[in-house]
Amino acid sequence: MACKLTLASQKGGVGKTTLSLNLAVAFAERGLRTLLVDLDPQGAVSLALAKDDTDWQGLTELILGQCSAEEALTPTKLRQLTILARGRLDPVDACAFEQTLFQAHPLGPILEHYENDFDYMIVDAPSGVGMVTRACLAVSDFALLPFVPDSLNLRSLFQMLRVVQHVEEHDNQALRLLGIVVNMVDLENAATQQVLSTLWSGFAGVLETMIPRSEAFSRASAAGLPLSYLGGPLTPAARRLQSLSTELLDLIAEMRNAAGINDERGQRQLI
Amino acid sequence: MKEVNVSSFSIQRALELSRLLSRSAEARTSPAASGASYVKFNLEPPPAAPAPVALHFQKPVEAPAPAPVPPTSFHNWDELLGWLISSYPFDAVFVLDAQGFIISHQGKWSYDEVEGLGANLLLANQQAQRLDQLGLVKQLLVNVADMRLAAMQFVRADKESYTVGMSGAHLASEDEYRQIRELLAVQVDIV
Repeated sequence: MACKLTLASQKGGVGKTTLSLNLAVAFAERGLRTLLVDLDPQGAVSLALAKDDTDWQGLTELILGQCSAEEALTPTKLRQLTILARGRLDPVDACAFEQTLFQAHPLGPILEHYENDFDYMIVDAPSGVGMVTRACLAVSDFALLPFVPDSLNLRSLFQMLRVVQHVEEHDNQALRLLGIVVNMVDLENAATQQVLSTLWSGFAGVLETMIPRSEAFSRASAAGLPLSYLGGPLTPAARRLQSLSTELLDLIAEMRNAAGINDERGQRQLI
Repeated sequence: MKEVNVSSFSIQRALELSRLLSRSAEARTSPAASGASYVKFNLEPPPAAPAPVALHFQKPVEAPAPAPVPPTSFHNWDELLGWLISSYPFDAVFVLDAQGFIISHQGKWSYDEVEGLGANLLLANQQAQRLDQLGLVKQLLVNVADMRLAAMQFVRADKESYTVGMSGAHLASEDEYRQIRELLAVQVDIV
C-alpha cells in the first residue's frame, strides 16, 4: 500500500515544489517506486522541469475522462519515478479545477487506483490553506510542512497546523504531521537565527535536517533538473536532500510501525 | 517570545499545535486544543434577523455630524494617527510597513497585539488581491466578532508601501472612509 505524503505550506515561495521533486527523485534513487503528483493548479512540477504547461496530460484529463489512468502518467528516465502531472489545464479554469478537487473528491479514487504500483506518492500542494490543500491532506497519510525561517512564516505557521489538525479531526483520521522541514536556511542572517531559535526551543516535529539556501537550486531550476542531476560533484545541498530523505523514511517507518502498519516485503531471490 | 522583531502572535498557539500534532503518542491524548477565535466562513445564508422590536418612542433624527477638518499637513505618523483616533470612531489605529512591522500605533491595542493583527492583515490583503483580478485592492473592511477593522494600503512616490489600520466597535461611514482614504493618499508622501 503506497504511503502518501503531501507537502503543504500556508505561504508561497518556501520550496514545496523543489522539495517535492527532489525528494521524489531521492526516494526513487533508493529503488522505491515513487509517484510525484502535481496538485498545484499552475503545474509547478512541470514548470520546475522546464516543460511547457501543455506538454503533459495528467490529472485534468483524467478527471474529465479524456484519458485513462495509465495514460495520465508520465514516466521518467529514472525508472522508479513517475509523474502524475497537472495536465493541460487552462489557467482560467483553475477555479473550477480547485472546486472539483475539493467538492467532488476525485483524488481519493484516483490515487487508490495507483495504490499497488507505487511505494510512495509525493503530493505537491499549492500554497495556501484553501481547497486543494485540504483535498490533498484529506487523502494523505502524512503532511510535511516546508518552512523558510523568517518572521512572517513563523507568524502564519499556526494557520497550516490548524488546517492539518482540522483535516485529521474531520476528514482523514489517518493523517499525521510528519514534520516541519526548515528550508532555504541562511545561518549568517541574524533574523534567521532568531526564528530558528524560537522554532527549536519550543516546536515539536521540527526535522533535524535543514536545507541550506544554495545557488545550486537556482542552477538546477534554470536547467529544469532535480539537484542530484546537475553535472559535477554532488553539491552540499544535494547531500542534505539525501539526508532529509533518509530522515523522512526512518520517521515514516517509525510512525507507521507505531500505528501498527508493518513495512512488509515479499521474499526475493538474489541469484 | 518578547523579542521586538519576532511577533508572539499565534506562535504560542502554533507551538502548542505542533506538539499536539507531532509524532509523540503521549502528546496526542488531548484532542482539539485549537483555541482559535476564527470567524467561520459559511456559504449558507445567515439566519433571518429577528423582527425588530417596536419602540415606544423614537429618538429624533440627528443631523449628521460635519466631517472633521484635517490640518493641512501632518509632520509625522504619530500626528496623523492622533488626529484619526480623535476624529473618527476608532479605538485603535496603526501604520505598518510592507513587511508588517509597526511604524506607529495608538489606542487600546498593545504593541504585540498590533503586530499580530498587522501580520494577519497583510496576509488578508494578499488573499483579497487574489480575488481581485486587477490586483487593485487597496482597502479592506473586516468584521470580526465585535471588532470592525479597516486597512488601507498606500504606495508612496518612493515605492515604499504602507498599510494604515483602524479598528473600533463601530464602522465609520462610507463617506468617512472615503475622506480618510483621500486624506491619506495625499499625506502618505509627506509624513
